[in-house]
Amino acid sequence: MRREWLAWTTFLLVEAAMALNFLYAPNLAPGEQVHPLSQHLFYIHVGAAWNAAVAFTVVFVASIAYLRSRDLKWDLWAAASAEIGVVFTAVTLLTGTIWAKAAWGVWWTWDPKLTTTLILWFLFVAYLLIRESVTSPDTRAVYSAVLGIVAFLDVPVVFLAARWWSSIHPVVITGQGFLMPPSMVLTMVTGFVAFTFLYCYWLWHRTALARVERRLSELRARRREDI
Amino acid sequence: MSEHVGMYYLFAGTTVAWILIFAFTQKMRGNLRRLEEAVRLLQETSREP
Repeated sequence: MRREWLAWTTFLLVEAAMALNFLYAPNLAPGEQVHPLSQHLFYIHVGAAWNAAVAFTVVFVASIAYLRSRDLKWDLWAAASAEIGVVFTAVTLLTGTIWAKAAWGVWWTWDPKLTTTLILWFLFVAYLLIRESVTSPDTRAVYSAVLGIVAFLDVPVVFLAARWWSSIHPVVITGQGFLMPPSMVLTMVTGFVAFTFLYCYWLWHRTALARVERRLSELRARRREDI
Repeated sequence: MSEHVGMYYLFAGTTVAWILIFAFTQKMRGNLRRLEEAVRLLQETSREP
């Protein structure tokens, strides 16, 4: 029942975010001269980036919780969140390169913000690969938790990269608030909320699936012992 | 004006894509529920002597 409520709220919020993005938000940001289509990718880009950060923060917290308690439930939450985080980071990189081509004239540049984001994506792809290569659940959980904590350290670096180093990546959220008109802020914030619900919706599914996988492997092990 | 019409097409296209993704996820959820039930039954039968 709770999941049903979450599913339909997510559906409506994503639909509302898309309506605001394409039908309400301005086609051009102040001071920017990019193609309107690329400008509308901005809201998807920012929403995906925000949720990648949320997903990897959950990996970090769940990894610490696992190392403290040795309860495999936390490992399951961390792995599920890492998978979704990798998808959101891929969306961030993809929409970012399309926007960059329109705004900067190049698909990719080794800007600190872009480079640290790419490193973050590689780190969590490595996290998922390591999980696949270790068969013992406890060993896999320990390796994953340590890598999850270390990889998370790149998240604040990505966020602060444009402030720490000279970067051409736009900074839209500062200590003084949002550096954009109210119509863009409303669209962006709705996108944040919609993507956060989408993250929770997928996380719920993925953890339920992982629990079934674990029960099945336990059953398989028990059957092997019986034989 | 044409840009404006283009945005309506984009909205319609992304809405169709989102409905397909959502419907697929809901379908998977139904499958998962059936799988959970099957595993629960398997666990119960494997506990019997």
